[in-house]
Amino acid sequence: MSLEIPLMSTDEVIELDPEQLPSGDEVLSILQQERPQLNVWINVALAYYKQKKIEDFLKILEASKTYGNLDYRDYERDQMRALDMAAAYYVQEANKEKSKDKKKELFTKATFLYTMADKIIMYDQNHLLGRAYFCLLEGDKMEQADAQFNFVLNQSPNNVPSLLGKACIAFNRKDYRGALAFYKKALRTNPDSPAALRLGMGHCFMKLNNQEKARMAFERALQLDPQCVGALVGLSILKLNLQENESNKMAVIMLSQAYAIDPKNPMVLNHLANHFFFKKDYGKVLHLAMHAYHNTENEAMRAESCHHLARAFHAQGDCDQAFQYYYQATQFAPPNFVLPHYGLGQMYIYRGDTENAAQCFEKVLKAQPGNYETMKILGSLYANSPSQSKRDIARQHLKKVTEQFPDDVEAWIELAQILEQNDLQGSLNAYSTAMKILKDKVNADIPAEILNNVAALHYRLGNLNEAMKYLEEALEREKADAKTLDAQYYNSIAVTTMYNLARLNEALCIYNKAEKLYKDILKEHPNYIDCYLRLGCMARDKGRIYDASDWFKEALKVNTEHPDTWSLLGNLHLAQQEWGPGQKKFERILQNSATSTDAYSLIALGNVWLQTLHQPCREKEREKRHQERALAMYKQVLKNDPKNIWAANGIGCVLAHKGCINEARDIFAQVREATADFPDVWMNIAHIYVEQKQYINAIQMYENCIRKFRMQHDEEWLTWVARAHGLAARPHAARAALLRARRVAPHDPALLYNTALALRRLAAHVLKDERSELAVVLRAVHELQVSHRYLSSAFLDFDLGNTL
Amino acid sequence: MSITTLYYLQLKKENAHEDSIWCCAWSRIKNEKVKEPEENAEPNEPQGDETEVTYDDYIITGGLDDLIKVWKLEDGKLELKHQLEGHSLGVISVAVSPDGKTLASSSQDSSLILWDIVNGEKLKTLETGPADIWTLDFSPDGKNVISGTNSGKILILNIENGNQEQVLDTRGRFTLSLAYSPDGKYIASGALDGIINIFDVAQSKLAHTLEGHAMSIRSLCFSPDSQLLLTASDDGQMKIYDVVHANLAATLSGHASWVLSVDFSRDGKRFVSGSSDRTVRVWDLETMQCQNVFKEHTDQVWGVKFNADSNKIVSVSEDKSINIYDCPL
Repeated sequence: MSLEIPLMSTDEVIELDPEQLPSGDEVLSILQQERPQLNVWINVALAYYKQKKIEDFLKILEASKTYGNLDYRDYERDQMRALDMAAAYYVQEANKEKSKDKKKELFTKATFLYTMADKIIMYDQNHLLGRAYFCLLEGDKMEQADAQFNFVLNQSPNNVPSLLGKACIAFNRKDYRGALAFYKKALRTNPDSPAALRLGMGHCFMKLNNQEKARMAFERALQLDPQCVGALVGLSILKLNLQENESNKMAVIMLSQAYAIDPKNPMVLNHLANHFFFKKDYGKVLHLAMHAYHNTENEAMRAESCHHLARAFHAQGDCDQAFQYYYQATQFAPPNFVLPHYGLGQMYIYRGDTENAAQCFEKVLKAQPGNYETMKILGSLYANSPSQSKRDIARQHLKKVTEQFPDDVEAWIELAQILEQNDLQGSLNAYSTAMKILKDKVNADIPAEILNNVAALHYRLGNLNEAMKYLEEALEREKADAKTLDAQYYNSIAVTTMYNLARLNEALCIYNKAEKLYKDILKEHPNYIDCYLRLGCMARDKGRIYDASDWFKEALKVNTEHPDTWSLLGNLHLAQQEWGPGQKKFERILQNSATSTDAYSLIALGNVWLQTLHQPCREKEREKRHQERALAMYKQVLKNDPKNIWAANGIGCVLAHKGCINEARDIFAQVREATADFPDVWMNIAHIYVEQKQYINAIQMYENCIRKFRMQHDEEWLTWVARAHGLAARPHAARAALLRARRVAPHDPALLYNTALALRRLAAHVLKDERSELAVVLRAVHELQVSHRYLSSAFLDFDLGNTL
Repeated sequence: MSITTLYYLQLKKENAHEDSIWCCAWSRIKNEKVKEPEENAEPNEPQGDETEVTYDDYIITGGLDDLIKVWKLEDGKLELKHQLEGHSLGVISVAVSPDGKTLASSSQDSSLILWDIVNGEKLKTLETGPADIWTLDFSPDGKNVISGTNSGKILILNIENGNQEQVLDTRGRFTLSLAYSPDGKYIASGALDGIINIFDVAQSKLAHTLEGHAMSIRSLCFSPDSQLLLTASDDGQMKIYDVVHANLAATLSGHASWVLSVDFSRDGKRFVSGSSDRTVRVWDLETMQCQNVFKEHTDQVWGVKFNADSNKIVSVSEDKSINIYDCPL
């Protein structure tokens, strides 16, 4: 059909072929001259628009405002048309525009035109629809658009554009069923609907997880419009999701088609980038992703593009660039797109920033609970955390990982390592599983490090012979690996294994072998300070105090400030009751700024002051001063470490000395609850029982303690038992306990004296009892005589201070 | 000695005493009996005055309950023969004369008593003067009993007349242990501070002082050939010295606590040790290796002794039980 421009002067018309329009300016001049009715202008402009001669279209529309003849009925409708048409054009342009500024400019133009139109006929249907779409495209005016569509639908319930608009709104509100309903209604009204409708339906089906129907919808869209990029992309995604070679190829072909149609479509670009990433063609990935990035304002799309860029850089080892793009991706990414966080986490790990890395992986795990890789990484990150709660999380993650993938050696090893801290048997089991997998499935040698750790665990569990087996195996492995692999590394860990072997020999009481091993290590590594210390400790335990002192002094030559060395030297003095020199050693540790809060030293000093309280003292003031000093030391420790049981025990002792028996008892009870492996506190509890005249409890406590800690040959402890028996009016038992002690330490004058006293009490007891048998009486008399001899010899060389 | 030697606990006598058992000894007494002529013997056969030799094995234990118990070991069973009363404050040490017939015992009240093992009679109480005596041993000729004392002196007493024949002075501290060499030449003593002295008995003078241990020596013994001295210390170790030259031949570690008692086997191939760590260990002299560890006691082991055949060991413990182990050759 041709266009007709009526001429002003005559009844003739100028006919224009819509397919072969003359130049815009020419027609414009005709129009301006002939001044036809506005609707003619509009039709001509539309013809130019259809020929994609946009400039002419705009010019003619613009001119129509001024020159269009309005002298006819219903000219307002055509005015509306002109305004809406121009506005719609700007909206369309704005939608295509990537630059925010230009987009805004176009939107402003459209707004201006729509506002003008509003003033003419506000409720014109087409006008309302145009406005509604404008609102939709502006993005943040969904409600307004919805209201306008509703208005139109009220008037004409089957208005297709409104139905489509409503569908779009429903889709954006994630009401996919609703959207689908609108699309279907539109389709019933107008079976010849454009491809876009089918595309929309396809997207709805995708979201509803109905892949088959989605595929059909996309295919139909493509039939209707072979250029429909959305449908191509949709179909290709469906193909990719099948994860088969053939379908992957098809998908790539479709994406390439889409790319040929619209080389700027970011969705296509991103998918292609993804494809080339797996083809390891990183150059193309970078190109496509970059292109996609610059062709969209949509943040989700940009996140994806950035992620592709980052991955490509990551894969090429450019961690700095990868870091930047991952980071950018995380900034753009919607909450459910967590992959960039994963990548960013990896980059943080690479940078050594475990704190941030952990945060990234936490985000991933939140979105993908139970994700295997993420749990493994988080487990690994938290395993070394100083926080117990984090380490607990690590343990839980790793446990789950090993449950899901029982063949993951790495996870088993990580789990074993973290369990080393608080579950020795569990750790050992995990290592055993890892070793079994290595042996049976991977066919690999078990690394020396693992053998060493397993040995250490057996050692800590008391399976000394097992430990020996593994250590020897580790040593062999290290020797082999030092020859074939990294000599320096394996030789260095072999030294540690040797040291462990020496410790193990010590634990097995094979001291000569331990001694030889330590000395062998020192020949090669004269700075291995622990060897000197162990040699010193061994000498000390054999009573060779001077040798011990010499070894410790050797250790000092290696490191003059090592607190352990000074502590050992200090203890050596204290054991000899050389309080002054002992004190000095610990004070030295505390004077060093690096070890100024050393808990061990503080407690040792507290104990020195406490020790002075055990000596009888007639000066009340001095005693009080010493109590306060001891207390101050223990308090300082507790300030740094509120759970320190030794400091707590010390405070309990001072309190007991002050006569605060109940308070002391409570403290000891708490310490005892915290650990059963601390003999002093058992003894202290027993002492408290004695103070409270609960002798039977005291005796039980003493005896349990002696049995548990195998202190049957400790004369001091036996003396306490005897004292409790004596106080409990059990002179026979008191005698037995003291005789036991005498069997061990016949030379001890205090013991001699105490025994003499006990014998006298027993004799008194027997002689008082009128039912005593003759033999018993005779024995009591004999023992009384012995006690006299004991006493006379005790008086000769003994200060009576230290007695019961 | 093959390493396949089968060691096992042959017998365990629980609650053998009412309280801790502190010392033990074996005694083997030889019985010579004229054989009774067999009733249905052929008249032509020579009816010689053949003597049949049998041995009675006794185990003697003593402890905190002041009692000494003499047990007869027969057919794998321990039968209590005598219960010897007379000590007080705990029996420290028992020693058997070479002929197995006489027992010497000491207790914390410082009494030293001689007993007849076969009939369980008290023979006499020996006077030891003001010193506190401790562990005992017999001289190989059976004429003397020796004892350590609190002042570091070693008393040599004549068992016939009870006289103190000689006093050896270590000039050291409390003598916790001592042993007479089987050849009668030496007396070795171990002190509280770990010092070991070896005296030449004939010249009654100090031959060697050994300072290998720094902690109390609670037991020591000579090898049957008198060439070696085995020492046990609170430092958990044992040492073996060559007696003549006083050279250290070996240091043996393995016990986790004080070594309270050691004894050589009569054949000189093995020795045994008992410790506060509750174990009894058997060692091979040639390899100086521990061959077996018995973990049969629930408390510290105060005494260990090999029998005359070198194939059994007795151990006594704070846990009141007597264990007898089979240690086949």
